[in-house]
Amino acid sequence: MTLQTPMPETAAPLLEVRDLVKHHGQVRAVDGVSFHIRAGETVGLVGESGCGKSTLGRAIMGLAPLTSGEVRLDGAVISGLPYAQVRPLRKRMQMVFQDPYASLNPRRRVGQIIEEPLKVHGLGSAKARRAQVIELMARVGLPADAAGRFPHEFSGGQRQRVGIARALALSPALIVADEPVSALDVSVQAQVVNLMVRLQQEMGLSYLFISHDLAVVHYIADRILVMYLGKIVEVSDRARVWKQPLHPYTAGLLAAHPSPDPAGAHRPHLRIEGDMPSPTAPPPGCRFHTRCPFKVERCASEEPALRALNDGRSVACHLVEVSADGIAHAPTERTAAPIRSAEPALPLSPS
Amino acid sequence: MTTGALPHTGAPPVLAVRGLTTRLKTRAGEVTVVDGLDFTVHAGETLAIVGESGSGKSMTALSLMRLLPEAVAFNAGGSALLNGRDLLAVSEREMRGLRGADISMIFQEPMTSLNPVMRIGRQLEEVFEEHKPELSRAQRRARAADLLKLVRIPDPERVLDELPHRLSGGMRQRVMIAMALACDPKLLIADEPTTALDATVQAQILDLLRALQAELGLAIVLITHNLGVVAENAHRVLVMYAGRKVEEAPVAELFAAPRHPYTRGLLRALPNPDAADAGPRVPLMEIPGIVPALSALPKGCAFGPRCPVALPACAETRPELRPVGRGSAACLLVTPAEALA
Repeated sequence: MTLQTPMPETAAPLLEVRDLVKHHGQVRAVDGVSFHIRAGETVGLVGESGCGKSTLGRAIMGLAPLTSGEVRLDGAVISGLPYAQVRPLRKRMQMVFQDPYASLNPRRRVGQIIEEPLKVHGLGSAKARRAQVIELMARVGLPADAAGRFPHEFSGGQRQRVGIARALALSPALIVADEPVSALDVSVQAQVVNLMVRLQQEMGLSYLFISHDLAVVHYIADRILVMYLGKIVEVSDRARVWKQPLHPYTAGLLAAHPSPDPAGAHRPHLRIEGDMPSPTAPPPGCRFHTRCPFKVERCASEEPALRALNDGRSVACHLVEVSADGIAHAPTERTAAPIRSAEPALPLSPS
Repeated sequence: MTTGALPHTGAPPVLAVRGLTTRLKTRAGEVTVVDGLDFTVHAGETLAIVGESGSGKSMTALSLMRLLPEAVAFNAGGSALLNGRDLLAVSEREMRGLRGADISMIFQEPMTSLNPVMRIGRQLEEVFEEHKPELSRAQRRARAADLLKLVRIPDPERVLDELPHRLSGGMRQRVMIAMALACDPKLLIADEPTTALDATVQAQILDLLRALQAELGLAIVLITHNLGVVAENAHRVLVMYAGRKVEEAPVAELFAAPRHPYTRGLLRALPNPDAADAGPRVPLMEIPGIVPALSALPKGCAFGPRCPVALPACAETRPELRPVGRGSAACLLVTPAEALA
């Protein structure tokens, strides 16, 4: 079970987020988050509404000033800089939004919408830009006659293609995609997900793919960050997040995912009770302890740090233990009602 | 998947719908949004109606509840017998008596269905004022508290005095369910009841609905776009496309052996982490194109233009539903013999 690493670990990450904090008044939306994205990698960010995942995406994009912490692109700090200095860097990072109905100007033609970033950055002659728009439209699978039409003439899936073409116009290295397929019907969702995977292969893009849907994130992401109440509680990878969740919240999240596959019926049955507490007053200690079926006294008083395990994962839970042979054990494995009763914990191969 | 096919003891269905047809008046003329729909639901059974936006699944629910405004929609045929009474034929006055008493409905967004400036207790008591005028005020309050207990709301006395915005989305949906169950309905129509909720809360609400069904013997029509929700909660499934039923089957059979190419496409379009291993990504199966506009349906099969296995005949002939396996499917390519093979 090897982790696919598109680049050697030693190369500077494309994006690095260090201890990012973003508060809106009393709301501690993002409360100290660190992670990185390597070139060509897709990092999935999953969590429920109010966990801070969209705020984190917007903060990384510089759409909202940070309360503290920093964002680095190719090793250089890009947060907290004056706009004039950030602007050239913005070409490297683009965003795709959830709602293709709200994020496209209804009074602009599709060709103008896709061309706009090129104009803003003063790239190319009008003629060269138009040629590029045609090429971008072809790349995302829009018909050539789309350029002269308005967004309302298109279906949701086609509009999301317009949003993606616009994001690609400046040949970015990183695309932050915030729930890009959540507003789409199932049959159209697959089209857009496949398109994003294909574009990544063709253009070497990196994605931060933000979604509440663990199945979609699992499909598209190489590594997966699980967020709860402003904090990352687990960093896992595609190979392990579904079958070997470490944090009880991750386990509960995937147990809650209704599976269309009869095989899913054999999945662990762990119910997370109650609702997420308000981010204005997160619980003391572990933020998840109020809903955690495995909590012990310590969890209510002492906040668990996100600790890196030697198998490449990270987890913020007091109850995850690493045995002498280096294998991490989820708390659920030691309880009377095990999460995965049917299958023994798989040893993580050292590779 | 907790449920198999429900063995019917021969009891008549709670709801029997025959040829339900609803037409909508639009600027572009009239369109048929529900086209000749047949189905039944028995006590203790959940029938899922699944489809994408524009398939007519919500229109079906609103037609049965007679909640579509007359100015824009009308019933153009069919019957819907609820314990023998035709919901489509009774007077509006009779319908008012049935709604909330014999047949109830819960919606996707509980906040828009609750009065934001009225306390929860008062809203629950209103149901009794309408349907059980003989109850005293104290009795109504006690019943309201009982209902909140029924839907597992902790501290019901406190919640009775809260305004809706003080409750979480999950709690609000529990209140809606309590309200819907106030007068012991035989049939509950749940239209995307968990779509607006987070995954962990969605699981709680679906657990609750299953438990209540077992306790009360409710017949449930569950309308959803989520095939995972269908698989884990329904006994039978009806798949709609462009206003028509294209397939119906017991849940296990539908997922094990989907007959209609549209159903197959929907199932394969979903990423399936349970089946996935750590190997390279296999592209998701796409259904090309988009759902057709109801005002411009093709002459033959409505799914034909998007169907990967369509024959020339599919463009000419609209397929009728034919029995196949333990269900039925509307596809020229599906024959009972093929299904048995």
